[in-house]
Amino acid sequence: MALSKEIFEALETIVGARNISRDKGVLETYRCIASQSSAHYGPYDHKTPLPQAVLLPGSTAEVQKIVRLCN
Amino acid sequence: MALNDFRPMEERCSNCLGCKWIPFDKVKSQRYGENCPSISWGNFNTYSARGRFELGLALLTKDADLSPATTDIIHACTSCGSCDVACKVSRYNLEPLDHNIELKAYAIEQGKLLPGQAEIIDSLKKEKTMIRGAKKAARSAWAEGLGLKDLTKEKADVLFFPGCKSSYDEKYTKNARASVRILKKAGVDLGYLGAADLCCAGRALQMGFKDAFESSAKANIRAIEASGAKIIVTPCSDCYHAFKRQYPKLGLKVEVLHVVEYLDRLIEEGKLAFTKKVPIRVTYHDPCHLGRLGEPFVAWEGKEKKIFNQIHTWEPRRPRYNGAYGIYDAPRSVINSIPGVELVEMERIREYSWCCGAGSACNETNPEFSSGTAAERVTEANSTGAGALVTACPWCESNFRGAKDENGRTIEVLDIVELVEMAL
Repeated sequence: MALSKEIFEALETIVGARNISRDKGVLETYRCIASQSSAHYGPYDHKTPLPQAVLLPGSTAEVQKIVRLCN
Repeated sequence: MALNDFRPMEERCSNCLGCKWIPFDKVKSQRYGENCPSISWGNFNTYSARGRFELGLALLTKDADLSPATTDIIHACTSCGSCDVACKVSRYNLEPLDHNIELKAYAIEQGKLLPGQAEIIDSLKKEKTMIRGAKKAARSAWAEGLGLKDLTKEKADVLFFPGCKSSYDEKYTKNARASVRILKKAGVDLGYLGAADLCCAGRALQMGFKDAFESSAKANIRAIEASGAKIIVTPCSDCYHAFKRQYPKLGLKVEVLHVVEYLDRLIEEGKLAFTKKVPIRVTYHDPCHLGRLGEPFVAWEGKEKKIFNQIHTWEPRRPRYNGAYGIYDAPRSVINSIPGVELVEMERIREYSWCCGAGSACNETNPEFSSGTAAERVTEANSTGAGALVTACPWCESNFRGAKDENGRTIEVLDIVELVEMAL
């Protein structure tokens, strides 16, 4: 499900503009960790899903708000 | 090298994230355990060396592009080399610092610069300095009255190279002038390039402007060789790294010393005697480009080899620049030999030193990032109880001056030659 503008803005309100990003360059550095492989095991994995946004919550309360919003 | 040449490294980075911390066996507290000003400021993984490897790979595979946000991240790096030191604790086949700089060069080639960067390089090309607004014609004014030999007309054993910050910025010409006075007092046969003195352009390379650096460096090498000097001595750590690590790649063959190394030598030889006490408690900041990036260049030629089709290595073994052989003991020895001075150390010292924030011209192109980085170091300095922060680089000195720690306090900042001169 695509991340709507409204949801993004709601998330931005929770964590602050500095702590949320949808920039492709930033998202690429948050691909699923388990899939990232060094050349020992194979080529760079393009099939791992890319997150739609990256958030950096600064408190438990912010995490709770994010989870409630996502639900 | 181009960004594509770093692709094997980008794929090899195993995401250990050691690049975000000083090596764990050197961590003394959580508060001062971080090493990378970039990720400490920007927070997203992309700001770390690991993130930059991933970003570089994503740019090569066209999974990302040079958006304004990505461009800002690429340039929000002082090229301090802290990630490089941390990575090389456990890895032999990655060069994070070189990759960070190459990523900047890649962005610059695509026309993605920060405001101010083009003007800085323009100043380098036209006025032979990266200090915007400064003029070539005024470069030698700092040397008036010092009796320095002009090496375009006479000969001397030692070439004094002040660097742009000490040449032009009135607040820091004191360091150049003090250095010359002290060295001449000790009997050193000292000269200066005069009209042939140009910016070392080390900061241009840090920023990713490789061609501008190479062009300036070659002109400097011609002037240095024409002077016949056997030793270059400089009070600027940026210049020191440029001459010691980068210029030999282009053919420079003279001995390179920082003023603090020369002072240490003179004190040991008994040619400098202290006559006054300086009762002050100080802490010493290791400049990145004198410390971890102050290791000498080691020429290498070889090829990459795979063992059991898995392990990448090189034949012959490549030099490993991990900061261990930077200049740390000389400044400490000088400080400890000054009567009355008490030296207390910060937690992050030597090759694990926290950057001042001025590198790669971030003090001009990203002042929020740069001043925040300096404030972090002033916080650490104040935590030692020192009355002054001593350093050996005018860029570090200028970034620390006036920087407020997390409690709003500043600290007195001194260059090491100032401290020495107080005791002579």
